[in-house]
Amino acid sequence: MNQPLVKIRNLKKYFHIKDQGLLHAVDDINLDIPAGETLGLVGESGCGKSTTGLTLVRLLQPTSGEVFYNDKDIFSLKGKESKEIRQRMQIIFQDPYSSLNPKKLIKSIISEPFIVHGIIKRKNIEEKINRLLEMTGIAKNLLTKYPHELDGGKRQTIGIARALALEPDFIVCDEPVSALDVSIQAQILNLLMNLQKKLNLTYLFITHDLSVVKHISQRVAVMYLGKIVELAETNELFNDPQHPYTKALLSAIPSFNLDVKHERIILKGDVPSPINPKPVCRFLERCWNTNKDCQEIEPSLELKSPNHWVSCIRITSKIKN
Amino acid sequence: MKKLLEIQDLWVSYKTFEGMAKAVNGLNLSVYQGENLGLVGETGAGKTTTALSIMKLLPPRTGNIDKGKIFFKGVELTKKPEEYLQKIRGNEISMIFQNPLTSLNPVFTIGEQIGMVFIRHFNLSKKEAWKKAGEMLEVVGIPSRRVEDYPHQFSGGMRQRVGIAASLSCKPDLLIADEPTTALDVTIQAQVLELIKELKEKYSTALIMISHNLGVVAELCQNVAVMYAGSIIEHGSVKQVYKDPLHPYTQGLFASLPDIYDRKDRLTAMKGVVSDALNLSEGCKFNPRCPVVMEKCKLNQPKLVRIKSDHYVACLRKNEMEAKEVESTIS
Repeated sequence: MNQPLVKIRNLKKYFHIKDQGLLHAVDDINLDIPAGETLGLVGESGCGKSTTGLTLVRLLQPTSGEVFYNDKDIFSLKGKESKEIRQRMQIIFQDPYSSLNPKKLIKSIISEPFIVHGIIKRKNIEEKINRLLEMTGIAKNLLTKYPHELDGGKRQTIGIARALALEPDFIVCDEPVSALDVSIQAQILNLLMNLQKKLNLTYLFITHDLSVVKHISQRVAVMYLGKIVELAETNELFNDPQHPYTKALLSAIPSFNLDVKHERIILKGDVPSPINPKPVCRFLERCWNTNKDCQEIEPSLELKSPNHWVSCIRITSKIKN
Repeated sequence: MKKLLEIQDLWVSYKTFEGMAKAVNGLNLSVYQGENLGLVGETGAGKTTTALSIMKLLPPRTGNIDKGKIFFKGVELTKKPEEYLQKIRGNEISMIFQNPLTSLNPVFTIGEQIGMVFIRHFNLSKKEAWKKAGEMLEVVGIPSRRVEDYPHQFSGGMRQRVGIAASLSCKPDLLIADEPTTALDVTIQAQVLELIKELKEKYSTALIMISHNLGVVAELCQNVAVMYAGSIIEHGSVKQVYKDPLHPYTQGLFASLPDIYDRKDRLTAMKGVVSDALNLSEGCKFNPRCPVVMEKCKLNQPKLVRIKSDHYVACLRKNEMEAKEVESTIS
């Protein structure tokens, strides 16, 4: 594994909910993202995956914890240094309809990062934009159009071009293909993978779609109610899931591959509320594999076999001390 | 088996500010008793419009059935008066909607909303209907005491269960489920699919499952019809169509999907974008995106032709090739 480009340490993000208490959106997570790698972050709605992404690019202030970019703690940076870090870490949003300003021409949407950061002269912007268009395969005539004139796939490509404008190393992709039709989804996924190769980008790829994450990432972290419950290399995670939640999640995906028959684990009930959770395993209520220890001990993410981390006390470690 | 529903040459359009949007263009489809049919396609393919036409629930001033006939149990529906349809809706044909948050009325209790079905179709008193509503909730796995609750007190998955309870109250012959799990998370989706599967058996209802998710259809249906730009371009058993898709669009669709059980190095993206109902191409509607397009594809719209015993496809190239094969094997 390469040196981690981004290190997340004990990151917490709580929200105050009036009259109800603290919503533990992201609750003490640790992750390393090596340079040039794609780390998939999967989970169901409300598990905190987008909050994690937004906190990483400082669109949200964390409650506590640190994020290191090349060993620099990004939350302690101020002024000029902070602005520099923002150039290095960018984000692609889920909804290509609401993430582009409807009143602006595509041209000014793409050139805005240059103007905000003032890193190149205005007269050179044109040239820069042309390079971006070439890289992302956007036709030049789109520059003089407004976002509503484009379809979802084109808009998402504009979102990608905007994220690439400042030549970042690290991009948070927050469900970039979820709002797109399947035939368009493949175009965007291919584009993201090509760009990664060409520019040696590092991605945190957030999605609820497990087949997409399997396709694009080298490692996958599974989130449940603000916690990471399992982290492993992609093939390992899909072939040999350990955590009961991951097992249920994988078994629940309806597949169009008729050759594969699999046992289905149907979870009972709904995802419980993340407001004031009890200090036990978050999955306890819905788990199909509990014993009485689970009622008392709060599990933490532990190395159970080489490169495979699981947060469950029922799974014994295969690593010899 | 008996034909339950037959749609003949259906054309539906919507009036919009930019012109006429041609949502359904010459659609033919039959559903047999007890059949599970998946209707798949991307946004704007006309899946929901087809469903709404069957129920005659198209928006009154903007949506219009321009041409075509819809037979349900041998009775033609498109010309029937509203009173007749009201007797059928919810009773013999019923529908589960995509978004369980907007398909329930926020100011009525669940009991009143499910109970309404019994009052309308069985002339039950309010009290009896209320009791029946409770029983239906139990059927979908919700405690009957929750009839007193309002929709906002339920989670997404529970609301969809309520929708299912209401739609099955009269034991309909045909259930149309319009993307019933699209708004739900995977683990909840699995619960709801399991429930539909179980209840469908119990009430021996025919099902039209509308979905853009090929996996969901594989899970629930024996047969599948693939829609593109308002008509059916491929129709057959799930086994046939999934193992050996014949239409270039269906083939493209499968190639562009990441498969959870089989890692592809690269996805093969289809070129171009989904067809625009305001501005459809002449001839085969898929021709601007088709990798094997021929000159005549731009002139004639292909008809659905039988290729194998239970496999139909609407593609000029395939029609030519395979029809010959069939002929030669027959003779």
